[in-house]
Amino acid sequence: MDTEINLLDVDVQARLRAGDQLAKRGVYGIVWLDEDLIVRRRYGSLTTFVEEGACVTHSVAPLIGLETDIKQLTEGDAVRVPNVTIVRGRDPTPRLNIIVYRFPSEDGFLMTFGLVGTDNGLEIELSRQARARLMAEAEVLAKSRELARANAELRMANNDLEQFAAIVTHDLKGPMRALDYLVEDIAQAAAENNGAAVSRKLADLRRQTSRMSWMLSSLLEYASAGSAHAALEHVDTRALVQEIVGSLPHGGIEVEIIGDWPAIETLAAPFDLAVRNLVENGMKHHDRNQGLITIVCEDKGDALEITIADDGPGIAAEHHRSIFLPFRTLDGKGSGMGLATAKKMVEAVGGSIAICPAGPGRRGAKFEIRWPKQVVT
Amino acid sequence: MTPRKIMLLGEIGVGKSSIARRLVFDSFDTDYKPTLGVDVYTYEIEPEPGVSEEGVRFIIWDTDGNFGDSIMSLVYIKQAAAAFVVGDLTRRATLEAMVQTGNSFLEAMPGRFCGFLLNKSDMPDATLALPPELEQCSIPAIRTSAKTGENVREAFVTAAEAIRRRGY
Repeated sequence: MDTEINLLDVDVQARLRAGDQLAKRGVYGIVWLDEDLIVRRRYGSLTTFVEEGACVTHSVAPLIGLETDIKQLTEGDAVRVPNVTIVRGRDPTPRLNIIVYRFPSEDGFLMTFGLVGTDNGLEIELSRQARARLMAEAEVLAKSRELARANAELRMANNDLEQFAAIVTHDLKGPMRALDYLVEDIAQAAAENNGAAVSRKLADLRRQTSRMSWMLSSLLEYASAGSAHAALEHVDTRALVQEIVGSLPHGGIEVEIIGDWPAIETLAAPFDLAVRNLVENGMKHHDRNQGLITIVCEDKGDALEITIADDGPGIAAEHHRSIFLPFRTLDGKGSGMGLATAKKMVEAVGGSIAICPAGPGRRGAKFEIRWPKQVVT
Repeated sequence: MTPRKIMLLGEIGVGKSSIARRLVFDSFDTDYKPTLGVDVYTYEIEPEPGVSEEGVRFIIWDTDGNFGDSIMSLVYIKQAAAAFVVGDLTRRATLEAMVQTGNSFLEAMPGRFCGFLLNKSDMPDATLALPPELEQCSIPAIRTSAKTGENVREAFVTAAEAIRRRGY
């Protein structure tokens, strides 16, 4: 509880007596200052650190900066610095309310030190508890983030698993069926002693098995893509994209990198894989000897919006959903895993990818990536 | 030596008092003692030959984290020449609050020096990734550890130089 008495409300002698009593008991400290703020007299154990004959700010540091306010005080006004501890060496003062009044009957000022509150212990305990609560809240928040990340990973793993099962049952079923037919054909040709047909069918069998082996390897590569360096890194996005473009065989395709590419804390490997696969896709499927790929980045505050556009043959609207599935290729070139891998990488950091119309009168494909700056790891 | 008032602002438990005590007494206490109201310390930065002829006597106002932005309207901030806003690298919320506090100080005391102290850099769970608003803020930031003393004095030397340059 604060104890503050306006000493100007009682007559001079009474207040001197009262002040003297309070000062002696250590409840108040009383200091008289002259017009230049030099300490002239002091009373009470609370004022022992105040140096007589020196400017008050020499020993009462909290008054530094308030000299003008004090000198301009008029009768009845006060400068108050509440709830302050002056730490001098290893021996701090108690918590004090410092008040400076203009002294009406003399030239100068009266400064009082009042002890702050007797419920100090309770306040400290409350403050300790407030801090402990904040710490606990921060920990809960961190745990919630960790849980959310684990759930997201689990969801992604489930999606991957479902997708994997769908690919295995759908895309590998065809080659398996072909193998079955080939074995029947070989048996029949052998029964008919048709050596030439057996040789031909065996060559087909080898082709089908190597295609299945390649598909399985591609699937494995797709499943593990981007998981090797799942740690946040400081990434200069422009430098990384320049490096990606430099590492790809261009042929006659020019690549322009435009826009605002900031440095961010993100997962470098997925970023590399997403951009690399889209740029490579534009180069590989281009139908002309000369062409242009434009890579633009716009900083949207919480995310980067990256557009990768080419002037190749484009992708018909009916294929816009299926091209992101593994093994989908429209012109028979490539493995059909590039766009699937790009999509997987973008979604791994909570971003999104879409194919957009190239625009009226323009040819080519345009992909838009939203890459969030904040990645939960 | 010219006395200059410098504020330590920031959320509860970020280590403002530990920074002040590391600077002034070169010590660190693991027992948390909350600051109630304001603790006022004094610390002198000696003049540096060839850089400055006059040293700075810092009056360090270590404030109670409970004040929040309300401190900007209190007597404590009056005539402050500079401020450090302190954040805790292990508690993201305290880092997110720093920009608002820094901007509020600069609004209340235009032209003064303000810096961010990203404290507890010694902790194993100290984050490397700062909130985007903090990354993009023009207020200079430095990683500190009141426990090891990393960058604590350096930060105040920087503040002293900035104050001299600005003439506050």
